[in-house]
Amino acid sequence: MQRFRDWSIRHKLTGLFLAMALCTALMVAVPMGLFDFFGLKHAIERDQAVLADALARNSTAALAFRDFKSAQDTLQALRAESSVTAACIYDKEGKPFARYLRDGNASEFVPPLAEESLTRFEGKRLVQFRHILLDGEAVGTIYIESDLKRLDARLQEYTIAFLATFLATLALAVLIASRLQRPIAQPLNDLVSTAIAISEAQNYSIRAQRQSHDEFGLLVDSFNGMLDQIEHNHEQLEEQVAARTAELVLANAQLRRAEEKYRAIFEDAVIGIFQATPEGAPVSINRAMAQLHGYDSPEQLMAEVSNVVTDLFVHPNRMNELRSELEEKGFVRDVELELYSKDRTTKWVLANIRAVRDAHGTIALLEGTIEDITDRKRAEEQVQFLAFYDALTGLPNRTLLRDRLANAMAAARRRGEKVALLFLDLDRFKVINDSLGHSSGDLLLQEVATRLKNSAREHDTVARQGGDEFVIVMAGIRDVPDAAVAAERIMDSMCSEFMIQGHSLTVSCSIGISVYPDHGADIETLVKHADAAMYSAKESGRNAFRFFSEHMTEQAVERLTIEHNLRSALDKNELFLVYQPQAELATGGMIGVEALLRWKHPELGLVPPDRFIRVAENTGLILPIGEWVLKTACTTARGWQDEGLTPMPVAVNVSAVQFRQEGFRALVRRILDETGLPPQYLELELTESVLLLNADLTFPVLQELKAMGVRLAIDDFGTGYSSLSYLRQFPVHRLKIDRSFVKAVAVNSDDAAITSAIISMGKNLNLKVIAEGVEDQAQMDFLKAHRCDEIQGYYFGPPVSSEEIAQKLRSLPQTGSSLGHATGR
Amino acid sequence: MSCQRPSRASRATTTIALLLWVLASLPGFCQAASEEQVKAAYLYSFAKFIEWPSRSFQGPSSPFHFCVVNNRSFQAELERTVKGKSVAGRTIEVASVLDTEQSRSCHLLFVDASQERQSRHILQALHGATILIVGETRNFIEGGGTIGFLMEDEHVYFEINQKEATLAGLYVSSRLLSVAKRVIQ
Repeated sequence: MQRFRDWSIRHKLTGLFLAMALCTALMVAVPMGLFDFFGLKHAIERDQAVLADALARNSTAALAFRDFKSAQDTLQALRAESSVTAACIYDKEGKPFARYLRDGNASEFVPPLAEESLTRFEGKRLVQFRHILLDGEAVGTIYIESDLKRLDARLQEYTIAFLATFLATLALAVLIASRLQRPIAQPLNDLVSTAIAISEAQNYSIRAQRQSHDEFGLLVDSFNGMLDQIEHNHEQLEEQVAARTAELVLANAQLRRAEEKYRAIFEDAVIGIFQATPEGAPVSINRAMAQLHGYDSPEQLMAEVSNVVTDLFVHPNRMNELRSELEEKGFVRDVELELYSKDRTTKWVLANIRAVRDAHGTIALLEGTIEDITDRKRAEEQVQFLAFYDALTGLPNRTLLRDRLANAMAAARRRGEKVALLFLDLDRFKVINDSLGHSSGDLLLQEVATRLKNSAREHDTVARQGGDEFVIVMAGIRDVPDAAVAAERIMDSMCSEFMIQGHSLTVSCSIGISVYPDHGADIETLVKHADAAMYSAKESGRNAFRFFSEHMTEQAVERLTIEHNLRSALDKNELFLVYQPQAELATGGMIGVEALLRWKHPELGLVPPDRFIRVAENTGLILPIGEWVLKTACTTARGWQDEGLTPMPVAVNVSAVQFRQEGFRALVRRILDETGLPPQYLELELTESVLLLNADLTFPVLQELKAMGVRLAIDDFGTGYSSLSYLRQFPVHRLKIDRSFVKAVAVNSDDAAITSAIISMGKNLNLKVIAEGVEDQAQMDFLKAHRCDEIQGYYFGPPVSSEEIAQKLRSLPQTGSSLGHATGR
Repeated sequence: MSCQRPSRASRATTTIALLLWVLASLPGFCQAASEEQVKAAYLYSFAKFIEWPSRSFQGPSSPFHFCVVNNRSFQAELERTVKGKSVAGRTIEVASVLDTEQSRSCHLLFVDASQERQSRHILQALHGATILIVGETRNFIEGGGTIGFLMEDEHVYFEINQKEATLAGLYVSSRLLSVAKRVIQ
């Protein structure tokens, strides 16, 4: 049902009129009806009471004298009263005496028991009992019962009358309402129609028509006034809208250009740009980000990656830290993240992320940039690695070693165990490195490192200390012999040949061992003692291991003392040369000298060469010393010649380090020039190993030296790797048999065989052969029997000063034979 | 329990009592009332339908005198009937009279059938006196009596001599007249 509020004014007014009319009609009719109804009811009651009284009075005598017929006659008078349906007269005892029934036989009427005087309505009946009094004395009772047809009829009549009145009122109300509502509703409707017409046509020039001078008139005037204002405003507005539209078109074009520009910046940016939900779902990303992750396009990445954090982060938990920082600060700057690419390789990126918050302050979006820093990160990792690892072998370096050692010591202290520190040095590595080249040396070191790692226990640390020195930390050993077993195993692992760039190499090593806490309680001491033990092993003849002992400390101290003093030995003129004469075996004539280095320290006294030459080689002091030796020897030899003595060739030992030195040839040339010694009087002695280990490098140097006119000899021949083909190629003048063979030629058949073989080989190659270290007649006899060319040794003459050699030479007859011999070559 | 339900026996007793009461109210039982009783009741009723002039009473509260001529047993019967009752607000006194002189102070005088010989004398003597004289002899009202009983089919009827009543100064209600068997105007 439509609500009254929404009815039209016309209907509302009509409705109101009707309602008022109906209310009025009801308010009049209902009380009237009720009054009438109750009045009639009362009247009926009263009428019947009167009737009952009359009957009672009339029946007193009949009752008193029990005159049934009279009583019956009295009741029959009720025939005149159509509303009375039944009646009964009771005697004094309450017994029915006479009866009356309107419809039917009276004898059929069973009257109710007599009651006290009363009047009551029973449904559609009015029932009355009254006492029949005679002179104030009850002689009986009368009962009358009547229907209320009269009342019903009256009610019916009244209802009809009311309805008629009601309808008439209604009609009248409608009539009046239709007349009265018109002057109120019509102006309003007109106004509404006008308003609708205006709003539909959007035409604000339409005006409403005023019809009266009442409030509606005023309303129409105000309405028209408002329309004037609206029309005016509308015109202004339209002008403004036109102006704004033009501005907007312009602004839109600018915006589009700006949008295109920024889109281009976003899409073509070199660094990755992204927007993602706080959970990590990508919202938008640019091409650079997609490509960074190995995807062809942003669309492909968006399709395959539903969550950047769970799918791409190598460590998704990192995001929790980032989230809390974003929550707190709103951004994170320069965060380094490791992310997966499409092919599951990892990339390092530098990320800058900003949290975009919504109106409630909760994080709605994350946006930021990422930059590929994988290369930088790898380089950093490399630097990091190098800080603790050796670049060549990948083994821990000295720094990490100390750390590991410290840990191992701490653990051992707690558990009551021991730690062994093994210092390992490759024997003659320098020679290999110098002769085969650094690349071969590096490969050898790598191979050694691999073997060491394989032979070490899992929790041992194998480190490279530098150069050819390796260190092994063995943690958790129970007793010292455990370390010896390990050392044996390591040395065994070195036994098999190394194949380096086609060369088959045999490498031995020396190992020094110190044990914590037996040999030292701190790292410095342990390292020092292991180092000393290693030196000791080396000096004992290489390819051996030694445990540290206090004695070694003394040796180490001595070694350090030598090293320390050697540095100033040259400047303090503590070094000097002695010359040992060399003789032709056949004639016994002196045919040359070998310059030998000597060191006399004011406190240490005369230091044997074997004690300081190695130190010089290890420290690099061999270069200035070697130069000094060369120069001094040449000067001396030249001095003899200048004195007019028989020119004597001087043999100078050249160390491997010296020979490998850059500009060695130039040095030789310069010294020969400076001293003025003819080149043929200078003989350079090189060890067999120096010549053989890197023939490609050695050969040109030897060729040039030969071209200069310098003579070349192979020192310590027989100890190295004899290679006849090389010997044939090398421009060598003389072979020098090692003193170790010479020493035992008379007693040891092996040494004798080697010596004789060397002599015959030299002859075959057309080389002079000189035996050194000849000390007695037996050796002389052997050498003579095997036709060795020349000898050197105490048997012929010990090393002496240059002056003594000069005296020797002066005592010789001045012949040019020696010179001629020398120059003939 | 304060309220006791009646036992089956007491209910049976009540039912029988009710039946007896219903039987007693039947006409046959009504007739059990004796003729004397009916006549006494009638006499009393007559006094109700008839008005006596106030001069017949000495004062407003003077009693109403019912008199029976020389019949002690009826007097007793009548006294039982009217005991505790009144007529027009006056107390009733019942007396047995022997002669007319005694009857002068009566308001209603009943002459029974045994006084048939005397009745003529009484009627003559009291003719015109303000006394309702009721008799039961045949043609009592023709003889100057006011009301006469007559028996018919064992039912008591009465007849009224209105002329005589009027003469005596008595007013007889029309209602009484309407139930009378015969009225002499």
